[in-house]
Amino acid sequence: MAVDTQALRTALEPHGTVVFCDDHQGLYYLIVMENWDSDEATFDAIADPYVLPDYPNQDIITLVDGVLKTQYNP
Amino acid sequence: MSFIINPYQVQPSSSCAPVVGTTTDYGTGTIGYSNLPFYGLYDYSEAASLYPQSLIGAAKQVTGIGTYMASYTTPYTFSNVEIWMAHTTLNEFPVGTSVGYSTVGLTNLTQCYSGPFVISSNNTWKSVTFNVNNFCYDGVSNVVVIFKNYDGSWASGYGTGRGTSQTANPAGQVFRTVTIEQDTTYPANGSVMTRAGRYTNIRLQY
Repeated sequence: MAVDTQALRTALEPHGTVVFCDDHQGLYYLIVMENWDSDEATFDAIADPYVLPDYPNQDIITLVDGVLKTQYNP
Repeated sequence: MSFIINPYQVQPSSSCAPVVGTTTDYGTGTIGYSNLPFYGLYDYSEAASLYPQSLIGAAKQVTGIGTYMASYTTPYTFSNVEIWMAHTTLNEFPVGTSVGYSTVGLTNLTQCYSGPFVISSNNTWKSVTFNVNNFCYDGVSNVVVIFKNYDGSWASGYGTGRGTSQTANPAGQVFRTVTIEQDTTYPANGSVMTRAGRYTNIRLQY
């Protein structure tokens, strides 16, 4: 089952600007947000249910000056 | 008789082993890592790997280096990178290794390459010929290779560089890679890096 990217985007958009939200050749799932209005835990609570079934390893997550970047690996 | 010196060719040191015109690959791991040797997700990144003498072997004059790249949307350009090499007596990176490597005891730290790093094809080696200095490996010490990404912007479509896991007998990791990445500014000297039990697969020209 592939990540429902459109539903994930819709869930994230109330909290900031979705700059990138997609998989890359099945290698990882990348999400980049700007103007993120909350913390990393809030992000995880929203995104993990969509992404973790297909990409169970969150390799990195950073939140600096409202820019949130995270990469999930298979 | 007159000589014309090419200013763009790195001149070998008289104390170096001669250039023999061959390549050797170091590392047999087949797993790719997004942050090796450069991390496209961040504006700036740095990764260093440590290679034991038992792997690198005899003295050699290193004239270029390559890494095994995969899964990039090509062409993918790191517009400004530097590659440095050094000797060390350490067998792995210690806890708290930081940018600047003040606890690693680097000697003969040498800037070897400065310029772009463009990945044009996947599942193959991407090599650069040194354009600053060759590195004179002494055949005795362990070797540290430092990959500095000064690109200044991130881009999707990045892939991986292959690495080789390093484990100790009977258990545990041998920490032969350290990494750090961030946006906006290059990581400052003294910024603590993340250790990992692997090294970046490399191809040395010498």
